[in-house]
Amino acid sequence: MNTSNQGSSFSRGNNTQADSNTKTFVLPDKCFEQRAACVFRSGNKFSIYPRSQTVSKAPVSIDNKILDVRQDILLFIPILRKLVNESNGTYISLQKAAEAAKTTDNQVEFLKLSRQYRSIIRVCIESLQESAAMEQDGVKKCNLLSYITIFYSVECIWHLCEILYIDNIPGDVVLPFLLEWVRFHFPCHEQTAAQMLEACERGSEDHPEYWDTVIGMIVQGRVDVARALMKLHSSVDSNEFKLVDNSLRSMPVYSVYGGISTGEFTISWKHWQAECRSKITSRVLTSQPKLELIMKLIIGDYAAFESIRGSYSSWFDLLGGWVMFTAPWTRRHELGAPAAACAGMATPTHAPRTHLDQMVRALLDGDLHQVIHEIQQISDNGWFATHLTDILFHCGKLKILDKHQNNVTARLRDSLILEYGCLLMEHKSLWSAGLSYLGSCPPEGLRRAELALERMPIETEAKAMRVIAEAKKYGLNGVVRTVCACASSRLLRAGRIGGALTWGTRGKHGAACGRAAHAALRQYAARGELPAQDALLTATPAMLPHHPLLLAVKYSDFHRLYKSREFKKAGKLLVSLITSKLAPDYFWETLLLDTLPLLESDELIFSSEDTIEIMLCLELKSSNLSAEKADLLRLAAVRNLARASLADEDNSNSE
Amino acid sequence: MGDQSITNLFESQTIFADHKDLIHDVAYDFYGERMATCSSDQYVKIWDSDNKGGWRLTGSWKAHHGSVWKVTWAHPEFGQVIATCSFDRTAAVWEEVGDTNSSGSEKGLRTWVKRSNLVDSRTSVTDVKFGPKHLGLLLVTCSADGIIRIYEAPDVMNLAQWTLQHEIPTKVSISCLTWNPSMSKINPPMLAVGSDEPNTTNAIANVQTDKSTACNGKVFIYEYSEGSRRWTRTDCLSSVLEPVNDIAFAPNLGRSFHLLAVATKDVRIIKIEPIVDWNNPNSTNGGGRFKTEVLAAFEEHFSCAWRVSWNLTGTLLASSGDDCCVRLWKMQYLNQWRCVAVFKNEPMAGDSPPLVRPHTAYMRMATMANPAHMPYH
Repeated sequence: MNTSNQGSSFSRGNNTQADSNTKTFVLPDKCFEQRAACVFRSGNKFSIYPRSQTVSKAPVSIDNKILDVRQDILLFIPILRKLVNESNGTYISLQKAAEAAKTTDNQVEFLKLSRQYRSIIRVCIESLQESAAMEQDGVKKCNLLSYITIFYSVECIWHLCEILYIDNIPGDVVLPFLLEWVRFHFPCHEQTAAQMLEACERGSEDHPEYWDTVIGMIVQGRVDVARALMKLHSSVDSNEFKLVDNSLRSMPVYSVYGGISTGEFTISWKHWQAECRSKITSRVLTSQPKLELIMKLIIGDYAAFESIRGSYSSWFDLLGGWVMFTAPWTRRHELGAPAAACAGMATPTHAPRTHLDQMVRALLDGDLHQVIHEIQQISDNGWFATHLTDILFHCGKLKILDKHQNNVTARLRDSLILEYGCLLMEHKSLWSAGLSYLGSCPPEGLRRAELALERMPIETEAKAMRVIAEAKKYGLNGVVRTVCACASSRLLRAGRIGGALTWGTRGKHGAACGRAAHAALRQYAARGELPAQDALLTATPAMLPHHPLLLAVKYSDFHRLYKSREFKKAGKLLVSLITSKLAPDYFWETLLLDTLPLLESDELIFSSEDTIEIMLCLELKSSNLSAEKADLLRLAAVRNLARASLADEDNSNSE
Repeated sequence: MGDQSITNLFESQTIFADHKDLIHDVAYDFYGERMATCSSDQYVKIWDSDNKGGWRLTGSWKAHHGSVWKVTWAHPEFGQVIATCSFDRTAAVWEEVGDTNSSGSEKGLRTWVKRSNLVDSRTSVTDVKFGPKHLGLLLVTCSADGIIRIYEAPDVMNLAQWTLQHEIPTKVSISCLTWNPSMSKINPPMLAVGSDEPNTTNAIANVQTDKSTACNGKVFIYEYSEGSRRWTRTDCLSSVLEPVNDIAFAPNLGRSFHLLAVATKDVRIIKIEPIVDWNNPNSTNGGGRFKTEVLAAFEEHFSCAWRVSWNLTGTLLASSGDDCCVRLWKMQYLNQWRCVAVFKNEPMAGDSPPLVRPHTAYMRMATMANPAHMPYH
């Protein structure tokens, strides 16, 4: 997937190289020949349609097709799910470690996390290999194999990067690590060697790969194995064999902790090489060309290395041996020259340089800028570039300057993480992982998260709750409000007022609550039954003064009191509702008519003041009632006023 | 080592739109799960994603008495609502009725009801857009006679009632408009409109007679002032002098400036940065309201660009033009823009692969680099 990859590509000086990376795609239909237009959907999905700018004179029959285009995202195949999720965990730990590293040196922790990343990749390769072995379908199998290639290169580069930039190497002497890297990633002849040693037969030279294996062991720096193999040769007792064995045995091996200085070591090593060289020039080995080749290899003879280059698929195989036999004290940032030497060796097949070649070269040259540029071209949807750049950034090993020499390393790292996070947001189950990447890149990450999260399709209530929970985790209250308002709106339109109210209050969304409350009141006014009683009784309208929800809640409370025959309290509440003038016009009739049974009850409910308030509102709002109903109410109110006045009189008399 | 970039980059699937005439617009809803199309056949069609990558036609009706130019979705907070505008001089608001969750409607088409018909324009209505939701339920239309109209539904539960809040005459034909999506309180509500008025001497003379438009640019910025309760033209982008076909603000992402994509004779990305006058933050002192800068001008579409569309986060811009190509432009981390993909119709060796069923699976798209390579399932 290249749009993301190229997104953060580099431009050095000018943009001329950029155009070569632009990919062109064929539109599969003829209807796009005359016209084409485009519109973005969500994420990296968009559609292309044959849009016209003009109206056709007469309706023409046209083959109208819309092309739905989306990015083909490798990381979304189920088998890679584990890679994405586990690396997300490591990423989060790394951010914590980086936070801690601000106060203390945390290099060991970084190395641990780097190894963790690599083991995640290896597990991923293993599971890919397993399914490739099981796969019957040719095309699918081929795809799986290419994924293996991708992640294999990723691990290979990561390992080398770890050695060169993350690992703590004593004295920076890279040779043992480099040899380990070569042996691990380019195991050549290892199995044959093991077989031969196990068989332990004299005369193993009859094995067709005998000499290749011995030489292979030499260039991988496994001198002991090579010597053991040579012991299996039938003429091991000959002088030539003894001579070579002796040279191999006496080779000085450099170790930082060996107790000798580099200078001393260099002297003894050079002395040893001079001895070897004199043995070659003495021509005692001419009868054994293979032994002579070995001698030439261990004195670092370029022509000798070049002569065996053809037996290996890449120059990496020779790199360890080359360093070992030319300059074993090479420090880790001095590998550019040996790499150039090995890469420059002529191959009989003239195999083209692969992408991995370029990446390894850039890495050994210490050009991280170029490395990141190259790894962005890998079709892993930016997984590698993102995580590697992040860890190098936190290790303080990355320094990238723009053309004005400003340090833009943080910007590069952020842009990769934002891109990767947004990519994961598009997946129906990886989105919460994506969110954690965006969350680690404030402030833009959170703004992007907000946009993507509120557009997350909500199929079920459970999904809505999950989105809300995640949004709250990152303090995205706007998303909570939007999700609740949309859920509320959907339920309201489906006639489920109670649910709409619950979602509205959950999101503390005034407008949504208001709409639901209005709907409840309207429905009551129209049908005489109050919907969503439960929701109304549990709602907390305290935060919303002068709001329709307050009216709806109080009104449902009035119903509760009335039903439980607490008429006095009910009457008090009703009068307060009437006098507060909260009610919308359509509800006045209901409110006023509700006073009627209370006005006419046997027990006196309303005091004279209350009755006068009711009469006042009745006259103010009489336009909302039919004349007949108004008259009825007037009569009841007047009667009640008479009763109340008498009662007041009695009370004052008795005092 | 093999090829690391073996996977294809895009895959596509074809939907048979079944419009009887040219399609003018395709619009996705907020979630990208529903699609509306409109055409010269006067019909509007609604398509729903089946969550398996396919699209199902769930609504189709004759919406106008003329070509339907644009279709747009309201925020889902306001329900399932679209607006259309047409050559028949009207704009209309449509609402889907019935329980949208019910499975009973799966069999047939859902019902869309015309809630309102906005008939104020005396010429073809060229564009229609709902406002950002934090401003309430607003709708803006523009028409060929150059009048921008802003409507508001005071009660979002009653979409039959729209009040015409503002009528802004521009004196030039307006082809397209876009709302600034910024939610920031610092930015007043903002609209950008593009004019497709041809550059005749007459038009220029017209413009110059109007005092407020002493600029022959084709893109105008309007802002709403809370104080005067009026929309006023606060800028005219002098960098765009050719007729404008499409215009779109990018999502803001909390930036201090706005990005505007303009489809004119080329594709332009313009940075609009409000100049904050700290002494008097509410003043609009003439032309000094914004600092504008053309960040990019892509001429790859040859003579004319027709459409621009941003992705969700404003990191990718799609454009199309007279060359019948669709291009994707991407912003890199140092803020340069670059083309990352081109989609074009090129006669291939042999026929294009037959696409039989309307809901086929996605197919890999072939790259030009290797014309012999055929797409496969």
